Amino acid sequence: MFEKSLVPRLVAMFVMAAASSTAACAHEKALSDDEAVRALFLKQVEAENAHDIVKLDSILADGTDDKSSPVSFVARAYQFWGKKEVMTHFEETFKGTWHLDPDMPRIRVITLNTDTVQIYVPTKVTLGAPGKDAVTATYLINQFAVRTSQGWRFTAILPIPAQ
Amino acid sequence: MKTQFKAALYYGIACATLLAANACIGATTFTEADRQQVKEIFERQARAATAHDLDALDAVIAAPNELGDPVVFVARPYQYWGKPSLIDHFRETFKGVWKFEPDVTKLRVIPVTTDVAQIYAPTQITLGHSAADARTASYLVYEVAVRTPAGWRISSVVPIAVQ
Repeated sequence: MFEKSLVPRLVAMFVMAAASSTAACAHEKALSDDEAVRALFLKQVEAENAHDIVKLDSILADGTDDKSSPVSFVARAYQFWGKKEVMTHFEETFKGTWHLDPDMPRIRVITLNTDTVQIYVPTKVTLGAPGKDAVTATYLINQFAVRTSQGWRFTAILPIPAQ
Repeated sequence: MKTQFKAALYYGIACATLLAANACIGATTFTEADRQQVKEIFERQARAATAHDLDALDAVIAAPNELGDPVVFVARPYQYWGKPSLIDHFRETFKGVWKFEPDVTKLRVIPVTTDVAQIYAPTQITLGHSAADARTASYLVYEVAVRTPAGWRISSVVPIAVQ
């Protein structure tokens, strides 16, 4: 039925087609994911600048419980582990001055694997306690987004002071 | 009959290849064994860095894949994008003083997905051009490990200076 020499050729063709389709598919996936994560970051900036805690909550990933929550906020001054702690921190922060001004042309989106992306965005952050003068400083903000059943969500937030 | 069997066998191999190519390497759960392997890869990285063993360091850092190069090193004074850039940086750094000493008792491994884990390790880093000018400083070292076909590997390094 099959010529002996034809069978290995068919196998080779299948293998080449599979490899090519996987590479093309991964590339398309990465492009659209890149756009989705940029959009999610802009939504986060809107939520934080509006001091909209509910909107911010919808941007951070949920865990099965707080102990296993993948959300964290690690900075020089403090570390918050789990979504509950991070949201409590922002509830307090939003009582004062808090404004983000990201330098979007300098954003970098790095695909770590098909379901995890790191973003890097130099961002001016203006912050101040209620009734106190606010100060503005630039941070190199690193965040990690994961693909969830609801779409992309952020997990870790790591601001590095630029100065 | 023999030829038909061979044809069926080759067809089966081709189908399996297609399926495997379109599947990911992902696991279904993040196990205690994964947690232990992530700790081990971080400790191997620390030993390689302190020993100035560039080959050992290269072995623990994730390699580029079909989605791109997942390696990132973001610190206040510099940012390196991609594994070659990171390895070149350490090739230079290892010419001077460089010690990377994490407090493993405070090491945290937090799974982000089944194939990605966050590592957080308060670490003393000693660096300088020579022993005479070397200084030790405390950092909150945040890293991301990814599951690869070769096992867990480090993809992202974000050290935050404590002072």
